[in-house]
Amino acid sequence: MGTPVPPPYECPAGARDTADARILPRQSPNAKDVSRPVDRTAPATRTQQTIRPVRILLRRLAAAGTGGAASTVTQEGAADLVYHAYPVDVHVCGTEARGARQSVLSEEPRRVTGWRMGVRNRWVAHAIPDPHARVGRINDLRNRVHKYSHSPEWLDVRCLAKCYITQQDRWLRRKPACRRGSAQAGTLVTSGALIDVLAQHQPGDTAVETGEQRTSYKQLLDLARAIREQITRSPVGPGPVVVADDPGAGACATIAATQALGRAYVPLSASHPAARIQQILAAAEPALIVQSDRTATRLADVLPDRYPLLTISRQMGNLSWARSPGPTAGRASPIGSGIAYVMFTSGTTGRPKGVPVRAESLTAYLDVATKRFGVRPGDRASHFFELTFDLSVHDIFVTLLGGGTLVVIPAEQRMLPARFLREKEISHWFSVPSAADSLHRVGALRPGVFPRLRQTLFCGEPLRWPVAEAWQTAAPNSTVINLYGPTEATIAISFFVLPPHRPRSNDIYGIVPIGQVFEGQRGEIFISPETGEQPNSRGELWLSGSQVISGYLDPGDGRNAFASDPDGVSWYRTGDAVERGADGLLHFVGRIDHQLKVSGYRVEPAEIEDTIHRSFPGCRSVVILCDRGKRRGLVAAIVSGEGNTPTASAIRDACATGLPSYMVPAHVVELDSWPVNANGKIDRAAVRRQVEDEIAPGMVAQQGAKS
Amino acid sequence: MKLRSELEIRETVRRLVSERVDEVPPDDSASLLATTSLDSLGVVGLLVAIEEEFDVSIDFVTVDPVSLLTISGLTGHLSTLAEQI
Repeated sequence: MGTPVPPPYECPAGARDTADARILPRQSPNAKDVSRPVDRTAPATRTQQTIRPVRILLRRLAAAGTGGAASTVTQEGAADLVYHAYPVDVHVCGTEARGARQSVLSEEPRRVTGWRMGVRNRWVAHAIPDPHARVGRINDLRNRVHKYSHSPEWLDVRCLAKCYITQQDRWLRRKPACRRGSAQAGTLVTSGALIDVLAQHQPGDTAVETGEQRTSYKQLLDLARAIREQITRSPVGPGPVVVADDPGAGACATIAATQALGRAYVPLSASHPAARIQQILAAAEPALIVQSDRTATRLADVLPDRYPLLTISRQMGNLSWARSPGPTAGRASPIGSGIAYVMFTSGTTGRPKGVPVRAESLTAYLDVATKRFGVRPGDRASHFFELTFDLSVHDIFVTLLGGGTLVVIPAEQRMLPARFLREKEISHWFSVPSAADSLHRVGALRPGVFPRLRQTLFCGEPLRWPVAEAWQTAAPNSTVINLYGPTEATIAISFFVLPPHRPRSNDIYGIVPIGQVFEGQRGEIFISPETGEQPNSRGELWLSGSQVISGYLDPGDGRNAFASDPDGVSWYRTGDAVERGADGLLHFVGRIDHQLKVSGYRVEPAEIEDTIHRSFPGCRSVVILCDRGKRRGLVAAIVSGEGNTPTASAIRDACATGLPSYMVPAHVVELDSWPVNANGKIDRAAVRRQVEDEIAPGMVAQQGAKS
Repeated sequence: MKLRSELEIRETVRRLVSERVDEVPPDDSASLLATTSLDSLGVVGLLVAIEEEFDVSIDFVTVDPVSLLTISGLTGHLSTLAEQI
């Protein structure tokens, strides 16, 4: 059976409204000279028709902010039409190209004729899901034509090409939100400018909505200015400002004020245990703490006396020093200038790890985010995340810079936010996929149930295709975008726009791709020499660029997390295993270490295991995430040595005194011994299998089960 | 939904909760999130199990999820559903 010949090509509908580009391949010695000067007054010749649209396309790409169009375009080099950040699809749809295309495709059953430029000028194959698309870098197409053709006239083939942008690129080319009416038209917005931008919005518009409380832009600006005044006028030393508040107007104003002062902010959750709060304060050594009267009660016995304490009252605008700044200087903070914020995440060393994000990195992110995921006045954006979760930075900055309304979701509503979404008429949603997954599980993602949603962002966890598709069905008017990014890369560094139909090439393990890295940033798949070549070029994702931090607050944390290449470029090793699919997009496939994700929160099992070991020295534990059966969640598998076995509740209590609630194991399972691998080390995968297979009410360690 | 008394519903809900946590809170009005080892995903799993057990469909688009975080809240909601059948 011969190779099937593809059907005659028809120009895709999406291409008809875009620029035509006739692209000349490299000329053979026999080809006629087409390099004569162009008379712009005369009717366009074939040559002019060839070159002009290419220039138009390049200009359009540059105008779209795609990171720059690429290599030189000459008459022969028109074939080198490439650009760095996003793939351009060049459809070959002319009569002269038909034979060439069929010749190529008959030899290329996978129809991988698209290419895009990866890092270090390396070309990466790029397949296009559109069944009509015959995509290609023309040079490559020409080479293949040459390769497969035995007829000399092929050497002079001229491809009548039609350039058009894929759906993802079409979406990217849309007019940035910041140019559609918000205050900072077309300018690069720094985080420090937030307070100035607040003044440019309509004073009466609602900036932040928390339950029934609405704070206008004027009120928010006044509060931010008042906080800035208090800090400026008081003898507060240098250093960061700790924001010990719940999400809301007070926190937003504090953050705007700190950024305007060039100080970093460090979010602190009043629901975290005292020990953890004190660890964070000791690591950050803030200049002062700003709390609200809501959190003041909870933090009364937790915050050390040595820090000045400013309280924002419920009435907003009433500021009072609960502890005035004194002349005594504390320890110098390791958080220097130029840092926008510091997030503390779970660390493998048994204590929280500080991730300092530079103002420059935040600016780079906001530049992309406000253009691509921005909001406008009148939009209502969700505020889903706790301040200690770095995705909250997106919520606050992108919404307030754009002049929209930030609608705070009560903590207990985050679990199943369907009613909230409808009642609050949210137009821009941003959450971890878990929220959508929960709604999907309970059948709440009915078709059209969220008609007002126009944009949905997911980040923090792998997004499963069935959930993403169900969400798209429930929110038919919404663009659904999957973001990816570790805290170390400033909120998010890659994206994927959900297409109308799920392309088969995008389906790896049922997880939505993490897509392509933002313009100006770099992502490289590193294949360890120890593991050698993996299937589908699987490897660890390394990130570099202005959004990526250069080190942790404590240089001792994550010594192996950063690397430099021979060119001196610094890379962050994400620990995420990724593949580059046939579509050229990045696909998350797992972790190369033991890190877990619980509702989007990063959890290092070592930190929990260390807490258990310190509380019960004779007890060794392995913490896994169980996602099967009735007892889902974090499970601490324990093996006790001599003496009494700690009870499940004792272990949970010990964890609760030092760890955030999302890090407290939901269940404790006692094992007789550890399964080990060939090297004699504990086999975590086997522990997980054993726990998942055996976990049942009777298997959970009960009070004094073994003693 | 099979017709059940409020007492039966309550006991069934408690049983389903007990299958997922080590200790069922004695106070039916106590939040399952605050007083048990269930997290939000655990609660969602419990709600799915309740729908299956009682053969009902809870409309999470209109029902406030906060009202379903306690045994008494769940019992009350299921009793209301039973009355509507």
